Amino acid sequence: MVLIPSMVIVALSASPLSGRNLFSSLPSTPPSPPTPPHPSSTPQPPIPIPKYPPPRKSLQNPPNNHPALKHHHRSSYHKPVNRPGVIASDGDRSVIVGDSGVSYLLPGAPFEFQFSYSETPKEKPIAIREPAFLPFAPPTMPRPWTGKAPLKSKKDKEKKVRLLESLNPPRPGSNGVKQLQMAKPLELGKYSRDGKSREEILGEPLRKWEIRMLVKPMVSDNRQVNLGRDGLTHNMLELIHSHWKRSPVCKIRCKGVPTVDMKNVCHHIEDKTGGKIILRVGGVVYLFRGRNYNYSTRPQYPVMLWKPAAPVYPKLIQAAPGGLTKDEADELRLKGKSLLPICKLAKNGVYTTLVKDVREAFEGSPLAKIDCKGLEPSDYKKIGAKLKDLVPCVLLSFDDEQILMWRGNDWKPMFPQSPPFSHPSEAGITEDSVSTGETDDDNESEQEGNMVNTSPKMLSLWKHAIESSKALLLDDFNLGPDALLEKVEEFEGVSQVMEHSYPALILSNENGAKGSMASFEDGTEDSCSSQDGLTTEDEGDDDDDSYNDFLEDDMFDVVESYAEPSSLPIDFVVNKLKQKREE
Amino acid sequence: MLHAASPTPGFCLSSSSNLNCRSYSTKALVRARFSVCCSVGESKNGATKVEYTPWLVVGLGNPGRKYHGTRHNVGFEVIDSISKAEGIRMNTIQSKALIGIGSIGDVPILLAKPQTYMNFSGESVGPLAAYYQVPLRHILLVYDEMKLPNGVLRLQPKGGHGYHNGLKNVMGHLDGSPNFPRLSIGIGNPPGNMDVKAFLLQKFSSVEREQIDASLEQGVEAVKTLVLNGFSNQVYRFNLGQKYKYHKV
Repeated sequence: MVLIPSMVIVALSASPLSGRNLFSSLPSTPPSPPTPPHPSSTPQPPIPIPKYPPPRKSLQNPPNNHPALKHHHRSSYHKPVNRPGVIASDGDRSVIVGDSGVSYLLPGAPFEFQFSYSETPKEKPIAIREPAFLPFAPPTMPRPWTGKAPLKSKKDKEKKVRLLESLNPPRPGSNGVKQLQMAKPLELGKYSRDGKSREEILGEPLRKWEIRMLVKPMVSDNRQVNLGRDGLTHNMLELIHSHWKRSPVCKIRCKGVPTVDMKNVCHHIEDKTGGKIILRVGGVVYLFRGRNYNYSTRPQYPVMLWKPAAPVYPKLIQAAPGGLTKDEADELRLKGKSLLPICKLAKNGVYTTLVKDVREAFEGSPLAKIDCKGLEPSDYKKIGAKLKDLVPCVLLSFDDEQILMWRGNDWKPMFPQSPPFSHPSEAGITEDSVSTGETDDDNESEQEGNMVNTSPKMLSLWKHAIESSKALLLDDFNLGPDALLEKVEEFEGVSQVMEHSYPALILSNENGAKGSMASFEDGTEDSCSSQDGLTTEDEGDDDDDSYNDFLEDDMFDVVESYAEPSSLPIDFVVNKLKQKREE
Repeated sequence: MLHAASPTPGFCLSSSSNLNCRSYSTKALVRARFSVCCSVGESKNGATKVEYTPWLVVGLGNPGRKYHGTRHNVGFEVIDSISKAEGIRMNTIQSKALIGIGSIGDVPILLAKPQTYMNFSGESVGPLAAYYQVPLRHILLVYDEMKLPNGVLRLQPKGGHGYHNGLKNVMGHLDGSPNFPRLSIGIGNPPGNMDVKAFLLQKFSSVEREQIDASLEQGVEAVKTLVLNGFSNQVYRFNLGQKYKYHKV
């Protein structure tokens, strides 16, 4: 007998109260179960069982004090942007918040620099998450080192900034601090392109065979620029030029969020790099540099040394979006919980058909749901934001890692008319519409009580088939499947005889033998069997002589319309061979 | 309308609603490239009597009571419902198949259920089409498809065989050509690691049975529209509607 330790404990503690003797022999007091269960009675386990696995300790304690290791992720810096325009400037460089989000204006630059050219949302940001520094050169604030390895080559050393002792009077507050200044202002980038315009560099448009020749070696090659969820970033421009140094075509593989709107991505690529897209397959883009491209006169943009923090944008999901009241919106959300998703997105996949699919789904139902399990929350929110603009729709919720969308009140269907055949009972085509000779097309025929309504050609073919025993007309309908199978197999034997039999062979030296094989017909050939004295050459048979001899021998009986076992052509051949062996 | 110079249905202008049909008087003998089109009338000797090229609608399945009502036999069920809806009696056995001859509107129709086992369906479909002189683009094959969810139909002008043995056999017997239209009926993927063959030869569950019954009716409508109007925008919309028919609130 196994005593649970708890029982012992209970017994021990209960003994003074219950008066039971611990060491009583068994028969006197049968072992009673422990005290009847009261609500909290599951007996206490000796070692407490943890409900969840113990929390994993992080690998190291992050040193949280050094300013050099501060970054904008999860910082609480929040500075609202009240009006668009310049928010910080440092001489002639400035940080602008405008139509294209947070952008940086440098002197001499051909366009405003942004972190990502294709992924900047059209919405205006409402606040920024870090102090507005230009990411092109180290500012005077301590930041984590995200720069290059130490300068080693002569070319790199040329980029080093020479500092000289400043001739300006020292600043008032600084005592004993050496003032230095640069010899000449720091040039961040070279933009002149020898004055060539974009068309001049591109040259003549490429012909089809040239395109094929250029693209073919790259198709299975891995040498490519990867374009991910940040879209076309600023540093990618430099990367593309470095690819162009080595090959006339740069392969760009786009995956993930930007592929929802490939048109936009391609437009920005062509615009900012100055190349031309020669082929676009799904998420892969082949970018040609131009016939008159020169690497040394390319525009050299300053490289961004770190990724600036994305500004704060207005929230995507509102409680009462698109003109609905909160209750209506909640109702729609509730309905959407039981909806089937129209597709499942892979984590870093190519979503080129997503917009079209959502539009088509809206034809059938006002709500549509996309399953994004496995994607990062920021990713599917970005996808939702894009869909909101492209398929015009209203985002209702992102819970359960699904995007729920409503088509909105001003949704217009793609196809103007109502769907073609939605009801099973459509007028116009009624069964058994026996046209009593009104139209010339159809032909009625009554055959043993059936009305068959079809074209005359088909009818004639059908009747011919039945007559020539190629087809069997069944009298009873509702044959079970097994019975039907039997009949078919049975008939098969019969009809095969018809098909594989030969036309008549009438020999001139055989007077008496009727061409009893004349009753056989070869259905496909209309070779008539005539009873005239044709010296036959069998169509395609060799050995006519011995063959003909055997015809003589065997054709004594009048053969019925069904072939008897010994009169099929194969039997003749067998006999002939036997004869040969006997000879 | 062109006067057909040869007796067989050779010269058809594709005159379905959304295809632009440019008739050149000089190029009168150009055969229409879009071979998948409606069954166009041929004029005989310029008279008003018009005869339409027939359609052969074949449903693939296995014969016998053992396989009756299984997933692989949905083709048979569709043919049965078409014959009931149109009043076409299937009362003839020819070329190892149960056939019924009739018409939908003005278009002659031949319904066929090959009673060979599924892997040999081509042996009956091929000779049947040849006998009734049905051109390749008018042979409509109805079969089950695992790629589509249960009860979803899809009308395609041509395609591959998708590892369907019946289709493979039919394609083989039609000179290896995949250019015939098909109506695929979805039966869904086999759950988990179930053996594919076992899944196909299983009968439908009750929920699936209802879905399939509903889609049989829709299928009949689709076949009617296809036969009368050919592959047009309506077919495209039908396919779209079917694809999203279970995604309704």
